[in-house]
Amino acid sequence: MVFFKRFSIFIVFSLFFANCRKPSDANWDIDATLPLVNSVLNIQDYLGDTLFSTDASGLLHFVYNNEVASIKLDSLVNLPDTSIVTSFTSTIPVNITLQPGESLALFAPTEIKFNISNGIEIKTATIKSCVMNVKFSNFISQPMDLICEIPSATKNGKKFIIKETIPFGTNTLIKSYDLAGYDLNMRGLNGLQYNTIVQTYTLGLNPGANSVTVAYGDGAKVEVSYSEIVPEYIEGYFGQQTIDVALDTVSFGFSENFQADDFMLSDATMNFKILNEFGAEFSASLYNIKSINTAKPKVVTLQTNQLANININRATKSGTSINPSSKNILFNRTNSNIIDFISNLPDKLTYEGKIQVNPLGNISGHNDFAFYNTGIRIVADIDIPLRYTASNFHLQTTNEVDFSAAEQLDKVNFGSFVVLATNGFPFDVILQAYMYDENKTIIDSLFVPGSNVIGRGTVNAANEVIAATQKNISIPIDKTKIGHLKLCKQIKVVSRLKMPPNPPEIKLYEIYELKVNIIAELNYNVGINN
Amino acid sequence: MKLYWLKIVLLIFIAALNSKAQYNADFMNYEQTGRCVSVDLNIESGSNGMSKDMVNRLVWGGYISNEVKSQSATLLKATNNFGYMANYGMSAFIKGNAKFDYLIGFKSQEVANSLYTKDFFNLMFYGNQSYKGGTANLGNTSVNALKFQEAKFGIMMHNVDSVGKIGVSISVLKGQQLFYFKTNENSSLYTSADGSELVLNSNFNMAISDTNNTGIGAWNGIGASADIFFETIYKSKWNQKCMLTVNVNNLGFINWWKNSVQYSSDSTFRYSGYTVKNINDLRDSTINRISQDSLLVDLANGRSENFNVNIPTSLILVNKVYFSEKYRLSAGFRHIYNANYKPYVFLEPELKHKNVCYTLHVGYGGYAKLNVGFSATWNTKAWFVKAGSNSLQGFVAPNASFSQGFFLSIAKKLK
Repeated sequence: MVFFKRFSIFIVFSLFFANCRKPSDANWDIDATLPLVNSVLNIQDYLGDTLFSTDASGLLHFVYNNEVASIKLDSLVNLPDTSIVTSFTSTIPVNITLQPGESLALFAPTEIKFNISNGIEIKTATIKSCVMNVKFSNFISQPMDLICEIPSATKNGKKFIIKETIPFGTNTLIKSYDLAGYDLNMRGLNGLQYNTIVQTYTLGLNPGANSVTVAYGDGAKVEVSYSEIVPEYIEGYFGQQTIDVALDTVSFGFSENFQADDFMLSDATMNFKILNEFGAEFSASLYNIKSINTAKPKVVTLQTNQLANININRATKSGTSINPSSKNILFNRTNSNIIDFISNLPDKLTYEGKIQVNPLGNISGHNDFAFYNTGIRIVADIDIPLRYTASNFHLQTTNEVDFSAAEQLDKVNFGSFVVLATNGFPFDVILQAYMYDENKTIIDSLFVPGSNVIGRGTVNAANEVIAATQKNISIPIDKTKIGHLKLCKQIKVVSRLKMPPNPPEIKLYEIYELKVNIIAELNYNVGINN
Repeated sequence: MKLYWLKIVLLIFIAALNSKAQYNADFMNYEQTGRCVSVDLNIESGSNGMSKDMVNRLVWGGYISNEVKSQSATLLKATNNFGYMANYGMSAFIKGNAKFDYLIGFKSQEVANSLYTKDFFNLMFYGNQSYKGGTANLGNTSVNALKFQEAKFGIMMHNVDSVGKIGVSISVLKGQQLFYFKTNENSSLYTSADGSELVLNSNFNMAISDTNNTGIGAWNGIGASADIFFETIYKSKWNQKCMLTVNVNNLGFINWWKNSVQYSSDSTFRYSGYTVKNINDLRDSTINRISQDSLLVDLANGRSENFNVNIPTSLILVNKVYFSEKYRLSAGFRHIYNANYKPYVFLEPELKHKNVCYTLHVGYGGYAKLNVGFSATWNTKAWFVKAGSNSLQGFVAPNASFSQGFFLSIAKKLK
């Protein structure tokens, strides 16, 4: 027993000393060469998501196709919120006694007319959304049953009906009903009116109530309001109204990260395609169309007389399928200043205008139509052959980064990142990257000024590249720079593309590219346990 | 009584600091200790392509300077080896009956060994910059490192045919840590002249135990091993007393559990960095993707699963001739399988004077070719102490020789 006691103590001591054997922290420095990044950049990569096409000669064309303006149904027709109060009272000049389940009277149908402005006369509408709010009041001492029917509102062939039991008192029942999906016949009681629907009411003593004496003038009251009316479809006459298109600004294709000095395109065309999806004629005038370069800043107004009087035919429909009418207006160097307009490299466009609906009156015989989310759309279709004169392009991007947890950086003693570049573009690329800390303050830069130029490819007399050139750029790395990298929260990469002397114009071909390899040549600490 | 405990604690302290039985074999001292409680430690390391300073830093830690690396670089041949073994523990032979005694023991073992090319050494310790425009040969390189602990149970039959001894033990092994890497003949790394491309002929296998759990308490696998011992005394044809000893130990394996990962690759891998579509969009994710793990994932087919690894198994044959009570000579052979070890032969002349026996050791093979050692054994009725080294040259001429070792056994004899 004594032996095992001592032996156990031996084991405890052995384990204790065994734990004292620390893992080896052997470490040493190596000179490592590791490729980090390889990239083949063409001009598309430089300009991000912009679309390009190529013509037969291989020349790149900048292509922009996007909607720049639109007028939707809600700008054309607005169905206003509408309320009506209806009372149902005894018209018999003596007291009468109502038995449970007995009706007070059958009240005559009533009309509700929507007050739609601008001379619009709606025959029918399909409701996308509409809330019918009803406040019920009962001035007879027993609960009354009210049946409200709207024969003008049908859904799958069934009329809209409300059946409610109203307790005694004022506004004793308040409820909302959804009219979405109902078709509204808005021709009124006699079928000759517009913007008008019909409703009927029946009032009786609830079968569970006690018999009650009803005096002359006693009865019930309902207060009905229609709100948040959004039509899915309307048909009628849209009036001879004028719609003001207020001054508006839209984003345009060129990024604000891309700028150029002394930039002038050789050619450019812009086609405004105006699509009319409404079943009504329009005439329009557009003006104040400006290209805005926010960064410079510079504004160029489009000079043309093609937008002063635009007549657009009505769309046709087959069932619920629309055949829009369209009108194309082409701007080129002979009928506008489109080259100056585009050469401004706009990041924003403004426009303003007026649209007259049904300039010829009610020639459709109340058969104008419009569907929800359709309207008049203006699509800009721009084609720019990349043939230009310029002195410089500027590209810059800012990236959020966080190297604070990158343990690999801690093990770097010194070295460099080597940028191997093969430039097949007709311009010099001057690179710089700035490190910003969390306070947006520049704390360091990556490239050494003067040693950060990737020379352009060799160009011929037409400024076309005939041979790419190679350049190695070294970015020295030491502990200080690594410390800055770990503090860095943003890196702004700024590229200046310096053009060769011109004219002749510079042409960017599809085959032009810039090959970049970034290689780390680092003295790096490695070890058995790190 | 207090003095007794003080001695015991001192024994453990010394043992834990720096020693273990020669050849890592529990049975081999039984002839002299009989029943006993002993603490043992054995450390040996050697290389035919590394200096002692470098080996020491790799094993015990510290910064390996360019000066230390250059000492080893001058020694490199086309292929080189390196080995390190350390084990420490305690064991007891407990009284059984007239024919056998019981053995119980606990031991911790560390094994690291490698067979490597000159280029592998240069890549590992100098990097690939000097190989720009060239190819580094990484073929037939292996690195095998593992740590495990064992609980041992066995018997020693000490009266077989009146003069023979047979010992058998089995051990339950706790796998602590494994790193295994082996390349085949065609493995190489090409670095292009401008550094823009690496081409790795990656014909290799690799296995790593859970890297998040590496301390001595880590239990990443379980295994079993056996030790077998045979010893007999016979008369030579010159009528001299001889003793033949055969010992096999660590004959077994460890099953590494699911949190261990195996990688294998047999393909040519070209790496030219991550492809970036926009040079202005160099995000931190690009840099963060360039990690050891992601490169390994790109390179190899990694899979987490259970797998078995044989542990290095040691075979020792010793024939001892007793010329007289005072003079003896042992001739032996040792080999360690699965350990990049070269067969080792040795001679050990002994001189016994009273309770002390002095032993010289001369051997050839193993990790470092020629070895010269010395040990002393103090053997009384109550105590047995053996200390020495089979590789004294590492202590005497550290810059010129590349092996070193030390062993110590201290046993308190029992009745």
